[in-house]
Amino acid sequence: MKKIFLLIGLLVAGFALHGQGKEAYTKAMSKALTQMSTVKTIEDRQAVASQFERIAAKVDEEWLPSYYVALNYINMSYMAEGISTKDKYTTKAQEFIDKAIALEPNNAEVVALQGFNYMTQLAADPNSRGQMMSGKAMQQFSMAVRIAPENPRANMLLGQMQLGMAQFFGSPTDQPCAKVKQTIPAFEAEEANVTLEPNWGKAMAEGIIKQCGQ
Amino acid sequence: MQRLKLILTIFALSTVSALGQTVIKGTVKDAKGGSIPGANIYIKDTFDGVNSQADGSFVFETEESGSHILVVSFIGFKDIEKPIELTGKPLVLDLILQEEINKLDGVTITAGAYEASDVKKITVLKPLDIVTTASAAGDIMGAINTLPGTATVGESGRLFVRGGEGYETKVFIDGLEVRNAFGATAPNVPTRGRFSPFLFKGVTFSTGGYSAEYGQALSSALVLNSNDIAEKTQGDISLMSVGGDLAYTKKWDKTSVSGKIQYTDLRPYQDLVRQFFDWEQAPVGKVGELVFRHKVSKNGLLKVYTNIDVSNFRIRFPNINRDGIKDTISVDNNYAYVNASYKDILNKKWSIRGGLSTTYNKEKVGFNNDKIDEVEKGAHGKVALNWDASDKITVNMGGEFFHKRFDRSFGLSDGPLDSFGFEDNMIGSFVEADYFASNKLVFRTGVRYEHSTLVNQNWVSPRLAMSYKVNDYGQFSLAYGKFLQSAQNDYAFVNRQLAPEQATHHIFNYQYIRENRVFRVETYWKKYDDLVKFQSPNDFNPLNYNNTGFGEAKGVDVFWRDGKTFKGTDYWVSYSFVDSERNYQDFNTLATPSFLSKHNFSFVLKHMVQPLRTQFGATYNYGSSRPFHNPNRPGFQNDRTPDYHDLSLNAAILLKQNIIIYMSSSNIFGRDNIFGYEYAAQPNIDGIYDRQPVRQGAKRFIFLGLFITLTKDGQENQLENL
Repeated sequence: MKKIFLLIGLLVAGFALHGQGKEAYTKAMSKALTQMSTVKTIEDRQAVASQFERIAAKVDEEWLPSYYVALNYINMSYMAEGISTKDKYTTKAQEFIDKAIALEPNNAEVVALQGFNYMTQLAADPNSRGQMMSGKAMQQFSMAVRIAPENPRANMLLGQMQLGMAQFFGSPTDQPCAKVKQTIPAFEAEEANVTLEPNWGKAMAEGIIKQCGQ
Repeated sequence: MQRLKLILTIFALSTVSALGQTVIKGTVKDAKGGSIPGANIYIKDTFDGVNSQADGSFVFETEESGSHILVVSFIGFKDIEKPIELTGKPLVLDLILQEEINKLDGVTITAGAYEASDVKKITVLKPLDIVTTASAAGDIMGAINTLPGTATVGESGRLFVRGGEGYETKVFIDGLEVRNAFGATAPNVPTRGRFSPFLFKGVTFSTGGYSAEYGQALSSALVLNSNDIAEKTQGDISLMSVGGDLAYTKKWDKTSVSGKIQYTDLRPYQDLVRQFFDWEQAPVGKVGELVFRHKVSKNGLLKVYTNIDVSNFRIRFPNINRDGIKDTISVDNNYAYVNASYKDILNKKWSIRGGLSTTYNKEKVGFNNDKIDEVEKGAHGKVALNWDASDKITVNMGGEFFHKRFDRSFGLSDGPLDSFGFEDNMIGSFVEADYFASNKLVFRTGVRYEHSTLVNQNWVSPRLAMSYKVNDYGQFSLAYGKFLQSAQNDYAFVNRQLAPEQATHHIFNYQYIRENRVFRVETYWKKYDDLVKFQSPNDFNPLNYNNTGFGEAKGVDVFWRDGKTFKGTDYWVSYSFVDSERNYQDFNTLATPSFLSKHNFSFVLKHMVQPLRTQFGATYNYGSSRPFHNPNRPGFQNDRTPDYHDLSLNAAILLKQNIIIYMSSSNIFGRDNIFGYEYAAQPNIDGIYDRQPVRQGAKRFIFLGLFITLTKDGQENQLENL
């Protein structure tokens, strides 16, 4: 009898502890995500990135913390000045993308983020990286869309690259513009039902659509 | 029951402890006392932590208790892990972060070396630059020739570096030697590099003071790093005014294979455009290439590259010693090169590289009714280990062997068939250590050992270098080294007693790189010893050659590149000054050799016109007059050629996403550049030595090409290939 009690007790304790861990993880993630939605400066971004880094260090079986660390460093690269500083952030982002890929190699979000990081490296020095990096980014975005045809981020990023190409070659921009426009309802649906999963991108999509209007 | 109590007690205890909160506060500073904002301070294995403020201060609370580890991290600094005891009492910590030694982006040895790379961030050139330089016409060597330290030697096409001859530059692919890297040619007919620039992701052109890993080169090492696994499956078609090629690349998950066949035929072009040279048959060439890549493990990559090249031509040159009657020279060349290399990371501290390359080169040269057959076979094997001994020390070491067999047989119309040959086996080993005193200061010491079986001798060559980074953008470098190179085939196949020629380099360099601007200035002094010397000016018997030749070269190289000031425009300027004299070969005194011009200048411009989707390029090359020996005057090397000028233009039009039109022309103004003169061996009846000029093959060379890339999505193009 005692043994049964003991077993039940240990099991309960175990679940409770596990549940506690999960709950703490969710709480920490939600807090960091809330903070992420308010960032303005590069310092704010760094603080949020650090927050996710702390979570990633503790909960190394989840891909989302690493995903968000990388996403924040990518954003910081756009905010930073100078190629070498920009590169410092994309290098850091790549470190965490690698971690996310190791956990979720076939996740469209991760694949699209890898493409986003290539695109960011390209943006730092378009003259010399344009040729090589545009191909690499394009490949990742196409792969992400193949995995998840409805994913709004993958479609938006792919659409943006195609739009850039079309503008460069002076060919019609209707197709890529339509592609980006189509993502808006999906972004809105995500915003209505917030989870820990990525839901960023609507503002960026709207920015691209504005470009299309011109 | 007691056990249940125990469990309850544990629960109770853990609940109690969870209530206690500890405040942790303090500052984060660097070793010099500067505050570090944005550092991540957290308790390991918890979510508790914070970022430091602008003044480096931080404060946060934790509900944890007992022994824990506090982690502090920030980009560019080493992480700290500090054991702490959480008891509820506030903890005040002054944390000091140590700068992390960054071996990739920190201070690097730059003396002598020009790098073109996508991998490293701070480089002078990008691989794409090599193929979009107007005067290069798609030849790697042509683009390299716009960098300082090189001299324009229009009748050769080879790389003459800092007062050195063409043979003093050695080419390596993935660390393995390439013999006969330039196409077979006849005297005064310029040649080109054999390898397409789009095979390579990076190029290091070293004009001196290079690593102990590279030997058997007196002046310069051109190290080409080939591409990794192909990005995607695609087909390429090129149609050019001088031929065409077909290429196909297939990519799998971990493997890629590319094949290319190329056919070049200059006959139609030369029938159309008037040539100065009298071609009996313009060059015709067939090249086959096979590139194989396989990712063996996470970091292990196997590369195999094969190049087979069959070419021939026949040309007629007036012979000044035969009243201008023409000599017919024919060259038939069969060439095969295989390069297999492997690299892998063994563990955190060790990585390995190694490989084997073989070259086979057969030249059948016809001179009127005489025939000369030449076969050269070379093999090079190397294994190198890289050891990250500590965060401040890296060691590069390895061993290698070189095998060479050279045979030349003469089928003279009025003499017996005769043949000579020699074989040399050489072993080499090298050790080189980089010591990073800080992110600003690095020292390199290296030593290279070589043993040759042909002359049965050992050599030890030291290498030294250091760099000091003045600030984020500028750095000084110094380099010193002894370099040697075995006697050329032309001598060694008869005279096997000749020791290697030697050069000692001293280099001082300053480099400033900021955003898209690069400034470099480098001064050097190079001393030549043991150069091959003939016994007397008219004794051409190689058995009497010796190693008493000597010389020196000193000069300044300046490089300025600016891709920032003018939007859509990138340009660079190179200037080299060299002062060099030698007493070698048939010289009877110390004099400046004929391949040397004191001042060399290049200006390379690239401008993208977005609405036309066209990149325009221009290159202007200047070389000051070159000395030559005029037997009609007293003295030696007593006359000078006119200056050399060449303005080349090119344009690349992106017609569609996968179609490019490319055109280029050298020497737009059609200047008749004279490289030197050939004098008659005997004076004419008036007692004057007749002469004829050594000129360009034609006024200009015009190139037209159409490049089409076929992929599933049609979005690739060959811009990189141009």
